[in-house]
Amino acid sequence: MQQDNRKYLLGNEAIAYGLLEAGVSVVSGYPGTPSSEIIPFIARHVERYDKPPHVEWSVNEKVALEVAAGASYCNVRAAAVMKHVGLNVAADPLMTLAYTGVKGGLVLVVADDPGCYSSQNEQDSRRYAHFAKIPCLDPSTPQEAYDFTKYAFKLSERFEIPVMLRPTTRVSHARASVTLSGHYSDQRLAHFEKRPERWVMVPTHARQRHVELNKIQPLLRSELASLSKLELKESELGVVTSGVAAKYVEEAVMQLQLGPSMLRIAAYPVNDDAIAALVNNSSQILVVEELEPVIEERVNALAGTVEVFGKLTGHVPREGELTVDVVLKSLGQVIGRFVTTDVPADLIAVEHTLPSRPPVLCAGCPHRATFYALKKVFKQSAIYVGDIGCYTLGVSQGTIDTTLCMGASISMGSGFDAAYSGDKEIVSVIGDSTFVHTGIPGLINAVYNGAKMTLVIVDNNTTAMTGHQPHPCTGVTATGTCNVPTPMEDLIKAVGVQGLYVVDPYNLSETEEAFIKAKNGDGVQVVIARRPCIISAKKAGALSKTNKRVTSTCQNYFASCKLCGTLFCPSISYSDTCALISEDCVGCGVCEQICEFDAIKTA
Amino acid sequence: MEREAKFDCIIVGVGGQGSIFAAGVLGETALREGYEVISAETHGMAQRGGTVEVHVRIGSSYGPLIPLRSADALVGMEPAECLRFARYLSPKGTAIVNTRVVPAAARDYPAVEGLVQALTATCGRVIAYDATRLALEAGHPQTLNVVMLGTLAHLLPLSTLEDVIAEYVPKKALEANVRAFKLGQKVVRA
Repeated sequence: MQQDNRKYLLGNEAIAYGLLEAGVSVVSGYPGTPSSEIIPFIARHVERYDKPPHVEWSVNEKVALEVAAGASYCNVRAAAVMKHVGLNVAADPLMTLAYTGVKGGLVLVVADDPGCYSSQNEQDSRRYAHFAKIPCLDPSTPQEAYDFTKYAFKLSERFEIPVMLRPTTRVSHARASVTLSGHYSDQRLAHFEKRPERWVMVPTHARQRHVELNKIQPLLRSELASLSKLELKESELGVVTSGVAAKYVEEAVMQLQLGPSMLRIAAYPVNDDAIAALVNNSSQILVVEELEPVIEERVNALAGTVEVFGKLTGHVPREGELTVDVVLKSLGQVIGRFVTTDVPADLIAVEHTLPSRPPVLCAGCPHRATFYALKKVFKQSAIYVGDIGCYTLGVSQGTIDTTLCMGASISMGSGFDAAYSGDKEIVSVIGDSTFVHTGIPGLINAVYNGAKMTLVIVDNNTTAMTGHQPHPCTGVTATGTCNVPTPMEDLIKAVGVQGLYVVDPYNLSETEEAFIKAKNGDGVQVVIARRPCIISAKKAGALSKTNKRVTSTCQNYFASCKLCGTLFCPSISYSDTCALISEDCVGCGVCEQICEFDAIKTA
Repeated sequence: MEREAKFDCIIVGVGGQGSIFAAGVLGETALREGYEVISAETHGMAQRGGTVEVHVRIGSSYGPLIPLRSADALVGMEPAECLRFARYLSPKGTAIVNTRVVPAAARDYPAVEGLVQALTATCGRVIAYDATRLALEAGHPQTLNVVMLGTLAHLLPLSTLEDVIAEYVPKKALEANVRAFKLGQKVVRA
């Protein structure tokens, strides 16, 4: 082993190395935890190349996959990167891309999030791979994520099919020693061969391509068989596992000193022969996989009279992420041994007394001011249709009533308005990046179909929640190049909205005034509440110039007021007698503007 | 040249306290000294102010998450956060806890003495001290994580942690960090 090529890498960085070493020419994606680090890592490394790969933040995942598909049709290697729910947006191109197939290797990196650490659901992307009939690789460590990335290109080119690489949070956000080959393949020259029967999916061509897609399925299955690891032992018990869960199983089996036969699945479609061999060798099989019972269903189909335990029998939890302790319990249930790790009761009692630290908007976050003004003008009775971003945290201020998926705020707002026949105040709240992602069609739709609503674009000039990625309205690209920023106001005006106001949310009276005008206006009214994300402002050094000291002279008799508490600002706390401003206050001055007793002063 | 020793460590704190950096240099040192190493970073939706939890497994070929009641050490940059993850500590393990509170808006904060007592009842050894004070003494509050690594160092199967830290901290903060590491070490030597 060459010491030099061992690095301590985040799973996502290992994937990025895999893409670069494979000679990828085009990488596209949209930010989403836990996939967001891949594209910035590549962007930081492109300067090392004479001819760097094209790397971009696309406006959304559908666009990202289509960008990658176009490149791949030209025989160059391409990758599209997204989180699991992003694949819903990209599902349209994916389903037919499987029919046309690809030319240059196309790797679709989709990061799943068992336990919903930062997602609105815990859907299983392996189902999509099955649905689209494309192969899926399921790494269990950062090392495998790197190895599989490179293999995915070869597989993709050999069968001319897109390949899904599906890490989960504990692979993408694990950091581990990874051995890199250090060998970088050259990028290919683009060459598109015009073959309408292959690339133009009119029905006659699609029917034929569907036949081809089905034809390669058994070939894929046998090609991928080598990725599964079967270890048969003289044991009644067999365990089938995959992904990071395989590592938990290894540890749990060691702790219990068990010696079951083991089958580790690392690719889909699964290896039926290996499952059959395990079935023949065992009288009981436990299937341990995260998220959906994808493998378990296949094992059930092949198990005959052998007992199969897993999610479908309640032996493995179907929701949330797995851990070694969860697996210990599952194994214990199957072997009839009571296995539990005792957390002392006294400790559990203390845990209940600990203060929680729920996610909150940062001190000085402009969204907080926007929400305060919004609530003041539109009151409790309005319906606040929310979207995906930091501003979802506005739920604590009572100004987010729904969160479904990217871009849904505006289109759902139309639905709320239609349901109430225009008799209800409807306020949709969307961030700038989300607006560009999938908000624009909803806005066009609302104006075109005569909705009555107020749209608030909370514009902090970045994609804040996923780590401050740029987007078209910022004009900055993934590699830091400055292009023409998408003109948000022009775009909105062009759609035909009846009122458009741009305000600085730190100025509460100006913001409230705009909301009042919007409330009294006709049709679709848009308020852009614009101020850079406070974290960006701090990083840019913009804050040190304007930072003001905020002091509270809040007195005893104001103790029951706590109006500033409705801001849910982490810098404001209360003693028994008064409001306290902590050191992390950035001096936005919003609390000063709302205090009815003039007890908070910025200087 | 894979090394044999195993050491499971959890580093926790509040966002902005440097838990991820501390875990990063710990892992990097282990890698350079020839160990297999894997770690898991967990942080919620908020950019700052939330709980940050990092598991670091030195000499492990298993998954990145440490099972309950089995960690060799727990480093808590904040007392309540330390208690929140005390369930992962082995009954024989060592807790190193900063006694300086980071207030949480949501609820009353329990007495720190009680938290340290509860910790003492669940593990082999507790090293509790005001690490924030030592960080300030070293020259910068941001060196808190390095103070705590200094205290952790005597338990580790590693000899070059201080050098790796020196390599990774910003040049202008080097001296403060060197002081911070030594002050952290002194906590257990004294």
